[in-house]
Amino acid sequence: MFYPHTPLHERCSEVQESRMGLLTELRDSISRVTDRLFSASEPKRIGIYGPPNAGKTTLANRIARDWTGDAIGPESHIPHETRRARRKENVEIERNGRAVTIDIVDTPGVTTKVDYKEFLDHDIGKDDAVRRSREATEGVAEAMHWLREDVDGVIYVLDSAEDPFTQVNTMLIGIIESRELPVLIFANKTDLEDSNVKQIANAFPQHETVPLSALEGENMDEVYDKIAEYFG
Amino acid sequence: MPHECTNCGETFEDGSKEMLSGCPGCGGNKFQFRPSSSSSSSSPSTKSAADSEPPASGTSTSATSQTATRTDFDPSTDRRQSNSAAETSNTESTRAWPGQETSEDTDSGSQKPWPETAREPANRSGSSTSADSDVTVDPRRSGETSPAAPTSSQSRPPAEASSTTDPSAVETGASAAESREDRAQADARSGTVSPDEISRAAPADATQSAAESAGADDKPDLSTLREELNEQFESIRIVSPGQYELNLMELYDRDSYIISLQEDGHYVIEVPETWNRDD
Repeated sequence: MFYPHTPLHERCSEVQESRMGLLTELRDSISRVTDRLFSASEPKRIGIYGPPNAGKTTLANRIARDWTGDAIGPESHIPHETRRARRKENVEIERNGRAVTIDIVDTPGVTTKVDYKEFLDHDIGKDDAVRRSREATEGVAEAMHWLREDVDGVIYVLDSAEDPFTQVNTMLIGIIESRELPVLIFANKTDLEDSNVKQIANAFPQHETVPLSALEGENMDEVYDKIAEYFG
Repeated sequence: MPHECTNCGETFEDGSKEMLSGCPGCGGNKFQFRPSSSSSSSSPSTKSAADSEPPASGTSTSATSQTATRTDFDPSTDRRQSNSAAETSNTESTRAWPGQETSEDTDSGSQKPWPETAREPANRSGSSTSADSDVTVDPRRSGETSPAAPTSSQSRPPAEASSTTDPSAVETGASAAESREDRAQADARSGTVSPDEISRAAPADATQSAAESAGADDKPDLSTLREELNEQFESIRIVSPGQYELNLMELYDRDSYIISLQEDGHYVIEVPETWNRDD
């Protein structure tokens, strides 16, 4: 190509700029593609945490059943029924025409004291109670380990009929905050007469509190909206 | 509106006497403090706990920790939780959060080998009488019955001793020395009274000589005692078969992962090198 009125160095500079523009566009486009690939191949691991008997497994099962058809684990009114962390992968939640894929990790209830005697009240023999107690303790250790190593976000489930001002709750929320993980507080069991969602919201005003009844399936639309918003 | 009932939301001015016997509206006995100058990013209830305390280190995690101790201020809560893990967890929750260890902590963070510290306290014989029924952190019991403690002590990172300035440790120390003080009171005191006040009060409360010598005006002794107590309460304590006390911060902080417990105090760990995220 001939440029009759353009000095050679200016022509070089134009070519250079044009190349730079192409490179930048190419880089941006690659970056967008890899971002999409990364987010598609690595769904966020969302840990469901909370004290024993808050309804974590009921919630995990509700979410898993709603979006995959399968449950995660057995639910029970006996504390520490979940004694190992259980994971349900690739749960795709569709909200407002957009799909969010997450891995759900249902964790054992976190507590500072495990006593086999609390199982005796549930018609469990002493030997079995001692074994459950040991497994529950291992479960708490596992839950704390997952919190440190393997979760990208946390759903913190509380029984809204119980006092949220406990050491375990504030400690766990503090740890989650220190890791700067996105966290949603779920005030569960709103179907109970004693449910007090305001008290939960007051306990952790720095975080969003979503009322729900995982057992009855109340307010699950908002639950999924928030999950998509926070962990999508 | 400094004080707000967490139950019904009714507010009371700072210094109001109406709320002393519970919320007149709903009878609730938990209030949170909302200082007018506080920003939304920090927990407003921090102030209520810190009324009589020097300012905490100011992070949001520390703020929530203070919220918890503020609850202990409530006498009814104390009564309700006095036989639960409240005291134990109080010890844990007021420990520094990860990455928040203060220079004060590290200054006093020199650690003694565990076996020495376990045998050091003078009133060892007395402690065993209270340990069986007492959920309070008791170093001597740990030393006698839980070989798990030295095991994990060996594997812990050397930068530990994060809670050597923790006021609750003073209370724990007093309990360990067989103080017959009501534990609910002690728990509440740990959350609302400054360390200085506690150390001044300790000789009057404790009846045993070890606690007196540790809790008296002698600051270095007090820090040493706190350090010993916290060091000896490792990740998991086996109180008796089927009864465990868990130190959540230790469990969270430790590099290795406890995968199996045995009643003889041993436990199986998985070290980070072999930890597989996909397992």
